[in-house]
Amino acid sequence: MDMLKALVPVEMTLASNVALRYLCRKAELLGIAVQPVHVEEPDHKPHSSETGWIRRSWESGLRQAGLEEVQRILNSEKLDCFIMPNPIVRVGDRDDTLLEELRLGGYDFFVEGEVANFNTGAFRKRLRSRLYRQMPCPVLLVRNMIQSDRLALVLDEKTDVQSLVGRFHQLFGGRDVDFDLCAYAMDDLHQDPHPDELLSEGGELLGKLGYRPARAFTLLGSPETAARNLGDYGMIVAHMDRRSNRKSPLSEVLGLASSPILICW
Amino acid sequence: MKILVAVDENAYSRYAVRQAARLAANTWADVVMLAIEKNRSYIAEEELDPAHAHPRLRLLNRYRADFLDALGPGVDLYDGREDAPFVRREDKVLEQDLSGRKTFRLHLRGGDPVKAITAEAQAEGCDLVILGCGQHEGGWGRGSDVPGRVADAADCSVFVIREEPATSRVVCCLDHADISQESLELINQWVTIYAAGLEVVGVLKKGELREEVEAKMGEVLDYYLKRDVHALIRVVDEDSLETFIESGRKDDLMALWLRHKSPLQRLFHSKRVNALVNHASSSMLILR
Repeated sequence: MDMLKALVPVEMTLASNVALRYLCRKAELLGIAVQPVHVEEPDHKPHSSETGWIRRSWESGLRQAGLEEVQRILNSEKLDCFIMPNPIVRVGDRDDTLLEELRLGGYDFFVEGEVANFNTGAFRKRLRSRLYRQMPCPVLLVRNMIQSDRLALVLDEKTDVQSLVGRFHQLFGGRDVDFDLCAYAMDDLHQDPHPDELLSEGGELLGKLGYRPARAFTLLGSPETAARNLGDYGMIVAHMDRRSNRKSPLSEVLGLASSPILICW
Repeated sequence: MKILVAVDENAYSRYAVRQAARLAANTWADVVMLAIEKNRSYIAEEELDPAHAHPRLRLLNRYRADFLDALGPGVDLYDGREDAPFVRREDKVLEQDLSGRKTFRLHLRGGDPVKAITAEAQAEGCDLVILGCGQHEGGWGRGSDVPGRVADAADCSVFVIREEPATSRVVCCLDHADISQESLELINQWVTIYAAGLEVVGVLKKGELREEVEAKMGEVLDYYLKRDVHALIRVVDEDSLETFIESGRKDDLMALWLRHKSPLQRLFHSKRVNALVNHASSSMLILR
């Protein structure tokens, strides 16, 4: 079984620290190799020269400082998982650099930390960012170090169930994952498809690939209630349509959830 | 640790007494239990039996029994005898001393409840005031806002308990880096007592989490994780903070770290701390 390759930005922030720690705890379970990346974003002040060796030596200094910072963070955390020995350190725009690395490096998923906000605007802004709109792989957004190893596959009426199940198989195929299947709706009236149909479609597709959820259930209620009810899961796996700009109840649930969320596109 | 439990005749005071006992049993705290009566200069006190002159002494004795019951078996910290006399002190406080291995005193003061509670907390050097509160209203007399005013005026931490708590989550709001070890330990106690989840919420200023607050959140997270307390982190915008706190549910305990120069203190100065504590659905812990 091949190891999954995850690109993980390493930064001097609480969110990045939580993401790294969570990932290392789950690395063995999920079979993940962690590739650290660090992007030094140059300030926009005018410099004495924009070209030539002065520019190159300035960038090289920034890269060196970035490398030292990454090594310091990785050493101080004493992480007990497989971390690729050569962190990638680049100078440039963060989104552009990460997108380029994700396209060229053939990563299975991108992992970054985010501290959940009571106001879900920050999450929606993140979903609308260039990085997320153009990302070629799923993203694991880590909010907290949840101890549970149980996953929840969450479906709603806008979910492309086939695509989500395909991604799930691609990432977790052959691994011993314990998961539940959940259909979320604010209420079960006038839902098309109805949550029961979603569960049945998801269960059938998963069954064809040899998976059987420990529990399949419908979760009804406001996004706040649903996010709270999903709080014990070690990871929430969901599908999002990047072409739609509309705020959906499920995106609100994901915005409010405390657990790490794996968003498949 | 010294705890002041302020009581009145309402059911929420009984809950407050029980919770105070649980904390005292865990921390071996010194305890003062305070009841307040109206000043009545027309009564010739010396001519009456103390129990008749001061009906609230019976209330105190009933809560004392509840407190000792709630400590649980095997906790032998305080004196359980019932015949100790109430003695009038120089500062007009009526006192019954039931100290054993740790201090336990019943006090009766006269006057305005807010002034009596804050004066008692200051005079006794208490670390924490515990008092009960009605649901969606302050209690302590019709139209009263006593719990909120005490939370605002006291120099020490204040825990306002709403009816019988079935607390499943302790939510701690943090907007500055100057938090004491004692406050961290106090939260740890309530998380353990209630077997509750813990959420540490950082307050964003103009959409940004200030560097020192972020670093402190990391330290707080590490502190609890090392003690096997499962802590979650979250942020909230300063503008949404009041709504966030008010949205706390009955089974939440909302804790606010206040200090004199903290933006939280400014934001919730006087009337707002008062209103928040009196009108919230959750129990509130003001940490100082």
